[in-house]
Amino acid sequence: MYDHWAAAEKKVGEKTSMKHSILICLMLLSLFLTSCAQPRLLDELSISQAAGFDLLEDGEMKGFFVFPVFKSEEQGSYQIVSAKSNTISNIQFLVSEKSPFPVVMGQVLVILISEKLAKEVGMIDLMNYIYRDPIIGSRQVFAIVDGEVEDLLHTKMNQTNLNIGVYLSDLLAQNMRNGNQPVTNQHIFMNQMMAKGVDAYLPYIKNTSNSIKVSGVALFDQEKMVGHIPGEDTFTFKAMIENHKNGIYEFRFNDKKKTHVVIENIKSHVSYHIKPTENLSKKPHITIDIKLKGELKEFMKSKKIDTPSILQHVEKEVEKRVAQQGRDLVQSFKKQKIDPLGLGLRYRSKDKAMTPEKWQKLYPDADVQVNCHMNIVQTGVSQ
Amino acid sequence: MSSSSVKEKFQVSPFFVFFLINANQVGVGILNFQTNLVRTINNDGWIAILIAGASVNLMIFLIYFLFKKAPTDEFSDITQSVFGKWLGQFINILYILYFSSLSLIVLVHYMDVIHVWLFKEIPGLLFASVLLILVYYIHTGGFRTIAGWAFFSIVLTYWMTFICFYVMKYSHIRFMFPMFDHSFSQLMMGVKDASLSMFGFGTLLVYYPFIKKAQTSQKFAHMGVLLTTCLNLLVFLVSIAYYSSAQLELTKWPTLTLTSIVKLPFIQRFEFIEVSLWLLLIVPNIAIPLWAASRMAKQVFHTSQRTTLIVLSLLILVMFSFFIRATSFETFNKWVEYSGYILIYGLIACMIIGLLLKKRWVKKRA
Repeated sequence: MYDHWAAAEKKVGEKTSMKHSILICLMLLSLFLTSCAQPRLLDELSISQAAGFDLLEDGEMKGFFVFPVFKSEEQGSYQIVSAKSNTISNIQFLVSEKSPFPVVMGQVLVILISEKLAKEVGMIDLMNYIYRDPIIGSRQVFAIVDGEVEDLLHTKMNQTNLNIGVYLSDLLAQNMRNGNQPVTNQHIFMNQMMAKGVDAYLPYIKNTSNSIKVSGVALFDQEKMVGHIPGEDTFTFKAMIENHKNGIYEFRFNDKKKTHVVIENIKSHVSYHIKPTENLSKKPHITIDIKLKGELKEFMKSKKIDTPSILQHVEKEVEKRVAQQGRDLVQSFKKQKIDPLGLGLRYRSKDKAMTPEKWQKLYPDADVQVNCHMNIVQTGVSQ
Repeated sequence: MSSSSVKEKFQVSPFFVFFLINANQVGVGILNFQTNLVRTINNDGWIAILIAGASVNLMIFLIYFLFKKAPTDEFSDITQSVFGKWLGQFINILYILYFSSLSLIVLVHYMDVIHVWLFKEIPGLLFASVLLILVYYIHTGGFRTIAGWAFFSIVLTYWMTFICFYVMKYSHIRFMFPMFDHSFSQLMMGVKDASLSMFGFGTLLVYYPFIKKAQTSQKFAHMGVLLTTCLNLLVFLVSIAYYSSAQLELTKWPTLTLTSIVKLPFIQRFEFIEVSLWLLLIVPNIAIPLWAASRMAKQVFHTSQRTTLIVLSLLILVMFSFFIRATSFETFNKWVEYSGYILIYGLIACMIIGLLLKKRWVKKRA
């Protein structure tokens, strides 16, 4: 099969082989192309792991970059460098001026924004910068800080040998996976911010003495923050947003002893039932069904769970409370004219007559029902 | 026609057409075709992709039909026999320019990707020269080597479709609805945009005589187009479920930005691997049209293919230095797109009609 190749080679002989060697030399020359690109050595870069932005009195931003400092005797030491400017790129440049190596944002895990900045300036400029830069991936987590980013980053934490950037990233990831925080990252936030018929949300964190905690969910109207959901309501909010497998719900049972009950969610499932109306003439009906499968974690003060009727009472109580919380949340969303549940988008996906403008008008009158169905499947090893 | 004008030792097996067609269709287009498609018909783009795929299949059928009816299997001779000597040669030159422009567009576009995603400092002209030397080297191996490249470019890069399945975790089906929300004229505009990412199959006209038992290869050509259609469909559906339409319109290379959510245990930022590996897909996208152009030029100007190849490569380099980072490139791109409709869709249909009329006329006289 390859005879003709050999024959061709013999025939053309040395002339071709010389041409080939010239070609190969030319291609080897392409290796010199590597010198055209700027080398980026890992230990000659200041790799930022967290960034934060505050709004100052005069309208300027103050940016903070957290860099790990590698020491042989001590783990997790870090350095925070800050600069003031009007734009993020310039802050990055000014921070570079204070650093022996160029500052890069390719490994930023967390970006913190102060509540004031999110409320007054909004996120659009920041997102514009972050989305434009291909060096920055789409997985880093954003968080809104109650108070100043500066104070939060300088919190002296007890007993941790983690860099504050990694610490915050782990904290937020853990709370999204196991806690009541709805899952979000740069992509999800950008998606919700840009899309019509859905509004974004981000974790809301604050520092207490010697620790940092996730205290709620910050809500956005397009690019500006408008308010937040307190920590007690995040369980219901997360259950309405996504199906998840963890989360703790605590409430006080209204029996004689005012027992504290704690339910751990094993599996939750949410479904939206939308019945499009003819020509959008009537107000839209939306039913949100939350199905919870849970475990009874604590049933304080009461001696034991002796009768199955108690469990049924607990289930009924949870259903009632979650549904009520859900309705209250929807009511407050309507009042703030925001739609973090994406009802507009969900409605439009069912009915093409709906446009974002029409939804704006219809949304305050929409009839949104929240139902909850709770099923306690286990009570642990004690009776 | 019975026997091919090309010696059998230079020919490739019929199934290679599958890879040649597919490798020539999947290139830089798939990195950003969603943006334009969403601008015109939003989430109904998948219908446009299906229609565009059907139209390309129809064209493949017509091309094979053309060669079946034609007295020769050299395309440059067919144009001459249909349009006469002078007009035929003029049309051949148009095809040469069209095929070279396809290579040029791929080159400029990929250079742009490299500049934005990997190395902003790299001199574009130098990189393009190196790439063209590589293409020249591939060409010295003859058409069989090009077919081999097409084969490897597909085998070595198709595993990257895993990205589409990876990002489904971040996708919402509700972004895909409501369906069928656009008028017929909007749909046709969408078909126009969708078929752009499937152009490139036109080079089949030139390498047809290089296929062993060429008429038997038709099913492979259809399969190649089918694979491209499926791939475009998958990428589009995943993109509209992953992005909201406003975000998609904003994004320059949605397929690459989509990749930046991928995080593997051993590599955090997969899109850099993707951009580098894309070179494997880019090389046949430059090599096949350039080969087609140089072969047609060889027949039109009666010189060796080596000369025409070098001249065309230099021409591409000169044009490249004009177009890199120039806004006029967009206009040029539009022109090439339109000429693609005329030269591939329009002229082939004209030639078939002309050929049939001529046959009937000859029969009547006899």
